[in-house]
Amino acid sequence: MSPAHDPATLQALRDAAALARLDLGGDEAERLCADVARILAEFELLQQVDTSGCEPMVAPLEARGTLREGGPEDSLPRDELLALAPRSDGEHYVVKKAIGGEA
Amino acid sequence: MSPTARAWHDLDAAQLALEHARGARSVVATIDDCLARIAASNAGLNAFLALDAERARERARLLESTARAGAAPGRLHGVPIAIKANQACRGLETNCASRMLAGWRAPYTATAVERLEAEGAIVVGATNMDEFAMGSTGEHSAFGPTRNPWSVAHAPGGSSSGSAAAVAARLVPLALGSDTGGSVRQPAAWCGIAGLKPTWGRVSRHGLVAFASSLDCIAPLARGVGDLELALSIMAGADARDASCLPTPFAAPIALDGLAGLRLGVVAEWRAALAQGPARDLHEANLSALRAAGAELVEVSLATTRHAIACYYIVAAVEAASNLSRYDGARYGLRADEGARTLLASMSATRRAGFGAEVQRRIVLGTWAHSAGWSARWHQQAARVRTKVAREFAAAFERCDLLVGPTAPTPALRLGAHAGDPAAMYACDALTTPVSLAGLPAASIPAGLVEVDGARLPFGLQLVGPLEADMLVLAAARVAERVVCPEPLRAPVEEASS
Repeated sequence: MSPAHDPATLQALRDAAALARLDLGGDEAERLCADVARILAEFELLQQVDTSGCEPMVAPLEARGTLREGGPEDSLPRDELLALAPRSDGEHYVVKKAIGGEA
Repeated sequence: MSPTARAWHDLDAAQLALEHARGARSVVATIDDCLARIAASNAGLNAFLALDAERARERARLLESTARAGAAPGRLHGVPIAIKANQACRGLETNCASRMLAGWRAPYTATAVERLEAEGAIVVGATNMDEFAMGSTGEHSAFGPTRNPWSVAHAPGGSSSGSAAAVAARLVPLALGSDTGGSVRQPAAWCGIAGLKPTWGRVSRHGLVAFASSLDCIAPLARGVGDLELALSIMAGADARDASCLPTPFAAPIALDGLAGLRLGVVAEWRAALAQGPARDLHEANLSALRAAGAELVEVSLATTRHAIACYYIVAAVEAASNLSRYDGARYGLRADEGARTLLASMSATRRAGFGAEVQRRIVLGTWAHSAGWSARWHQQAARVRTKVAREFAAAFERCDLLVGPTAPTPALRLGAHAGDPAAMYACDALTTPVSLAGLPAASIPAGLVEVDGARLPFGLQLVGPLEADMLVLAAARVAERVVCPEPLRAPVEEASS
């Protein structure tokens, strides 16, 4: 079945949106997932390519760059980075409570 | 020495730097006039999202005073440049054309930008783009579409829309974009200028906001190939802050007198991608001109590249879904968590409010294609097809030195032409994504004008080389630009504002 009409694909896309932390409303989620399912239907031909003998490519060239020595280095100033945070107390990032219920 | 009779914006970057260095032209005056030109035209083009006039003027004064004190001028002495809004320049707003990063000022500078500045370049501002570099028309910006200086009813191409429009309108002679699947070559073609995608890893990506890391390249745009070569030779080279950056010594520029002895592979599938009409006629005429200039044309086939769009959009979306997970409203950028009571609810509300529709589509596609149960069929298959595409390119290069073809299947599209049809928009990248998948260097050069849709619009020619053959691509492009388009194209918007 074409991904555009496959209920399992559409449900999997809705699940992916939730997994990706996109809090989409009902209609918005339906529209977006239907869009993606139509795109996948166009991409379906990819499945017919004979890829025997082809390893999956991770990057076009193997990383050949030199790595830095492991060790402490100067970092950007803490206050400058905290100033870019949506909310901070001057020493830490302030976020909603993650463990133990609502904040 | 007196300045040449020409205005600064009619000089290329290398010439302008030379006149500044000789004291024939004031850097401060150039920067003042550059900022005035941008102010006069930006409302119409929407090419710039942020300017840093104060910093630019301060750097201009500093460069003049250090030159007076005897400091050796750099190769871009006093040249105003623009950078895409996904590249860090300390203090400049780097918002990626997204509500998610609106107001975010970079606390450091990208290596590529740092190297250009070390040669005397002056960053005047950050340019508009498709949000997080996802788009082919420049319309997917949270701050409104960029317009094409050749026709404001047409798209400039994307995602480096503002950088291309700024160069085409002669607001700056040189700009940086980023090319993940064609985001520099395609807008260069649509705006009638030159653009280079270097070999993947040739230029450090430190300070480039990550979209799809195995594809992303920082890439220059200019009116001619000479400035692309200059910019690349300055930016290339190992960087301890990017382990994927090639450590090999960068080759010196190659001088080609002509095209004699050069075998150019004409990709049958790319040639066939052009519909009957003026663009196809122009392209065929350009191939004949290249042959007449001494090149040997060899027909080659890259059969798997017809799957490149599907392959690219799966691979890039998977990487984007991962890279964009960092926008959680906790450490930087937007937080839109009114009413959210938990950390997860805060993140989800922020990502819904901060990302535009195209970015959300790709995050969902990428998350899904990499999830258990679907990854083998989609992401892994796409990654295998990518290997096959790269092998076909390698086989083609056994028969020719470089490949040649159109940069895009069409000239610029009208704004809104593909609204609501993402797959149709993705098709704009059919001739650039194969090259990106294989990581190859490629230049797009202006190849003339075509009359389409009631407008005279530029069309581009793409030259593609084997991995790491950036200098050969540039050398051939330098000759080819004189063959197919001897006079630099001049956009009507620019003429009107001169």
